[in-house]
Amino acid sequence: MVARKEISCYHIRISGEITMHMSDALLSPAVGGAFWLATGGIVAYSAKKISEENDNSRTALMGVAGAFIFAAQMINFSIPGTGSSGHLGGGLVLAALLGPYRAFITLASVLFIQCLFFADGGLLALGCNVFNLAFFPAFIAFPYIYKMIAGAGDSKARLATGCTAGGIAGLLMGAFSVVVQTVLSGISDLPFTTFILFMLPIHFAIGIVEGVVTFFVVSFVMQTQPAILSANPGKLHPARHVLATFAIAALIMGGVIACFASSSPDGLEWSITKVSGKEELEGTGNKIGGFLSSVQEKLAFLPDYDFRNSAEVKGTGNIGTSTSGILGAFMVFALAGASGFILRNRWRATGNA
Amino acid sequence: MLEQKAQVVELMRRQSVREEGCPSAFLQVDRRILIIVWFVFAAFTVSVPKFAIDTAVAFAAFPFFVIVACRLPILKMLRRLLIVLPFILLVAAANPFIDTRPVCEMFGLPVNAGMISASVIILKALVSVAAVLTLVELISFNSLCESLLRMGVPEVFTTQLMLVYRYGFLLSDEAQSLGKARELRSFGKRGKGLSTASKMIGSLLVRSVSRSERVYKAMLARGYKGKLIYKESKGLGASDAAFAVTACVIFLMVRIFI
Repeated sequence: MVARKEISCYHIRISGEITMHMSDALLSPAVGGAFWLATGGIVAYSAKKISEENDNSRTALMGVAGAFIFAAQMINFSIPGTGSSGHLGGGLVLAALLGPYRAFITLASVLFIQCLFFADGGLLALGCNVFNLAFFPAFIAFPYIYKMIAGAGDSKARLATGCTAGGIAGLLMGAFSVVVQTVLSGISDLPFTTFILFMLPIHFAIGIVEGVVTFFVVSFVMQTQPAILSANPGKLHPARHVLATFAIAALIMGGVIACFASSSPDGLEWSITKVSGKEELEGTGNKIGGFLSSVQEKLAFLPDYDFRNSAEVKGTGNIGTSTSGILGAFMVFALAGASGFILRNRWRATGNA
Repeated sequence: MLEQKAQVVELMRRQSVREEGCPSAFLQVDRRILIIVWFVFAAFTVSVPKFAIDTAVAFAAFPFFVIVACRLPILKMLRRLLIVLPFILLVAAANPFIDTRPVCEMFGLPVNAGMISASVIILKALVSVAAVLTLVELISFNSLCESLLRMGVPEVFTTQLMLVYRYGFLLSDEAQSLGKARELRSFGKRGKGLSTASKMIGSLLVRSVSRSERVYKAMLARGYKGKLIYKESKGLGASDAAFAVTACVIFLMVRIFI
């Protein structure tokens, strides 16, 4: 019984929390970098908007609200009909409490701390994670779905619909974005359709739960202390807000499309590989040129590894070289350990602190 | 899952009490440079090609070096690394079945290209997370935020980070005692449903908001005028630049030659 409970907790942990988190290991540098830039831009823009508001009293509220998200995730509930348990994501609750800009910054700070202490993803994946888990709920699901449907929250039915629709939409957009990032990076071999068919139903279900819990929480707060939620200014300048959102979205789409264009090897190279079994036609016999091009090829920050491998797989002499490569790698590893050990003793001897 | 989270929160709490990370020569380097070097390392790790298992192993050398040189608790860090594995295993597990081009035989068993790319994914995940963990062990969270501010991150964001970090423990304690109270009063699954849990979360939210008002008053009483004040710190020196250049050159060499 206990064991079963453990397993089901594990399951929801995998599906609810971790699936939505991108990892460095699944990203290509181009995709990771593009999303870092996009996220950094949105953080800077939101920070500017907040400091223009010049309302210091809400600084403390934002900080405590971020801490609240941590804490609320420790209160778990059983999900009806599944026997597993889940917890609140909280993006929509934060947006209802703080408005889009402050909610975005707050969610980003929570994700940043999770990245550092909960070992979520890695430094480069942080850009993707903030984009997937903070941008969509704060800037899309809250103003364009939740607010549109729920209005001021006077009608229970509209509030419930708004929360559920917003919760589902936020999670689905995030999950879709995870799939797009993974597939564009090309590190995992999961095909787009398989991955999306796996991700979307799970996140649809999680979204329903998230929406229902959000509804309960919001209506509880409305009953007990309605002033908390009505203090939120919501959208600042509707027209400019829409424009800004679309501009950011366009920028990101542009970046992503550029990545996609550069990460899929063009047809010519492919056919050369297929015909000759080599990546490029032998043009220069020059040794230095060959060395430089091999360096360049190794350093290529765009993933053209697929067809390099196809050449490697065809060749038979490559296994020997890769074994020596692994030996070399372990030597680097041992060397690092040894020099670390020497340094540690020296630092202790000199009392270097 | 909750136990794991509680453990991490406990760890954060201990970290927040500690003034600065482990004593080591790394800390003579400007924190901004450390952050940049670690970020460059993350970018290099991500750039390791899909099938380059040897390069991935070589990059594991960096966190290993830091752990050994700075006497970081290696077992504790390994335990935390294992938390990372489930999702990565899930995604990587598909590769051996999709990319079935045979590569070689090892101990009489056939090895296909997907197995190699899957092990590279797992290695890279472990290496990048190990690197983050070493950074957190080295630099205290407050000086991390301070360095980020000096690197041009908006003050709104760094102040927010410090506040979340500071109040995370307090509210987690409150949430844990709420949870414990529910455990004591509920039998079997009663009280674990959505509506009870949501009311608990709602009341935690109401309490948090009123706490934030008290926090703000306390901040005002201590002279807060919209900016946190940091102590003066010195600028970048030649040794900082030397450290950054050396580290980047080593990463580059490993990336090219292994």
